[in-house]
Amino acid sequence: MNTILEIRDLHAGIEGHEILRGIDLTVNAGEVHAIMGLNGSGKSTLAAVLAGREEYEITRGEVIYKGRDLLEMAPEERANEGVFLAFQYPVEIPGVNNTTFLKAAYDAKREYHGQEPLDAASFLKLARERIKSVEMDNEFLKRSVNEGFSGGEKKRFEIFQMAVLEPQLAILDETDSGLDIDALRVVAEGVNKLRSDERAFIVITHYQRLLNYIVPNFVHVLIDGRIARSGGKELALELDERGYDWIKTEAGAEAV
Amino acid sequence: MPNATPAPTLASPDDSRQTARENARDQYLQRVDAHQSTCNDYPAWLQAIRASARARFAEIGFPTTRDEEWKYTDVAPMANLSVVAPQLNGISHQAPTLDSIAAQVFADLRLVFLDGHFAPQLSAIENLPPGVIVADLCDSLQHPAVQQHLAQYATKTEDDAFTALNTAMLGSGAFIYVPANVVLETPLQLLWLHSQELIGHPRALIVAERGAQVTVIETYASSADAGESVYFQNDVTEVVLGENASVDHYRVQLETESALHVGTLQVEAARDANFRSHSLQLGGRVVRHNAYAVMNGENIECTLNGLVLTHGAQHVDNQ
Repeated sequence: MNTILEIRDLHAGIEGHEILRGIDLTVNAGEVHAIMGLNGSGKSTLAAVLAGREEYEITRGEVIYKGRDLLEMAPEERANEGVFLAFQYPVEIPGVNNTTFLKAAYDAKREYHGQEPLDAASFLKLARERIKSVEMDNEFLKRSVNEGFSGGEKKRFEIFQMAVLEPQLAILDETDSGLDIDALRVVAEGVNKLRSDERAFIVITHYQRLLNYIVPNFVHVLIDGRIARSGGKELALELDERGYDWIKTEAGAEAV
Repeated sequence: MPNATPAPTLASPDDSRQTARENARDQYLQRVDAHQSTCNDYPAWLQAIRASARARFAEIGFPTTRDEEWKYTDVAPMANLSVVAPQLNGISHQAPTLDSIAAQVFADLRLVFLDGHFAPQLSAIENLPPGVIVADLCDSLQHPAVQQHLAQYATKTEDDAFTALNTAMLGSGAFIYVPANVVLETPLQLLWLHSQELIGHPRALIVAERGAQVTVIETYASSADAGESVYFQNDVTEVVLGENASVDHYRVQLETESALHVGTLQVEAARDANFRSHSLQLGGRVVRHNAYAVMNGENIECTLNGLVLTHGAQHVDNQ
């Protein structure tokens, strides 16, 4: 079993306020782990900490990625080693062309692995081929990063970037929030096309419906900064029907 | 009392405007009071809403062009409109058939209202997914969503005489309810038809619960009978979106070129909701369209598109 990510007793916070209170999680290649939880439970904090956002302070625990200490690695190093984060709120960067932006990331990774940058024509060909997987037009490649994109287009574009960068660990932060059913299907198809034995996914979601399309191997429920319960895909359905209170009660009872 | 205190002998122009405005308001209040209930049963909570709206309208009266929000549109044609006593208890002209209104029908799923009354013979509401409601408001007053949401947004958020007037006349209307996570793929049309000189107050309440999805096409038009008659439609549509709900909304205004129309769209959206509206203003002599959205949470996307095609003396004011 190829373990890509191992999180042990991770505690993290921001401005003195602790948000993650002891996360334990093991993710193997080929697996899709869904993480659900209410607002404020720590879902996005976990994604941010794994990606390397500097505002968060790690107070305890460790994260091992492909055998290396992830927390010691700068964000760009994590990216070059194959960590990818699909943002919850993709930012617009007017003046920076989409293709230029993506090629820079693509080439940085190649250089890190001792390869020559890809020539412009080949990269463009690659981009045009991959953008089809999220049903977006080539015209989007000519625009500035996320400029004027609708919410659904931004989220689909995140998946397109993932398709180009071919990460080993892909973290999707609430990619489904705000999508109508058609955009949701496109996003899910784009993700499913990238599922492989070499790749692992952490899918953070607030709504169960995405998991009908991206069927997870494991579902973890985050409550107050800890994984209160883990299970299979049925757990997501149960959460959607019953809410979170029953888990809180059981978790509270166990803690006593 | 319809007659105000007599004006002073040397009345200034301001005073006569004031009296005319008061007269207009009083005339409409008479219509409100004379308005027979179109629903069989009016629960207390609805009566309270109507009474409160009537009081509000009585207090503020019609706006004038000296009001900032109405500086482009003189509402005198609507305010001073006098029509032949409306036939509220039935359809006085030859009832239109599906064939005769074919040009205004855009969808297989539809609620049709004729002169303010729900017309089941022209409507089509079969094969709805479980829990979805597409019905006359009068038949839906027991539904929890109606009790929770009706008139909770338009009158509360905007202090507008026309909205208050419409709410004071609340009765028959459109109620569309989509339960959590239900996607209604078939577009749904609300068709409001006028067949004669009339003052109408179309009302719609659209509720999309958490994760629900629906497409609604509102259409305002006249049936062949209406001809050159002057009529006034004063409509209010409230749309409530739960978390992560998605609503596509169209307003197609195809009134005749002698018609008067004031329309208000009031949207209330929760986090992650998606609302896209496209308004097409094609007819009417004097038209005012208000579109308001309250975005009550993070990551809400709200698009309000509009297209106006006018010619001649048509006046269309979008706010």
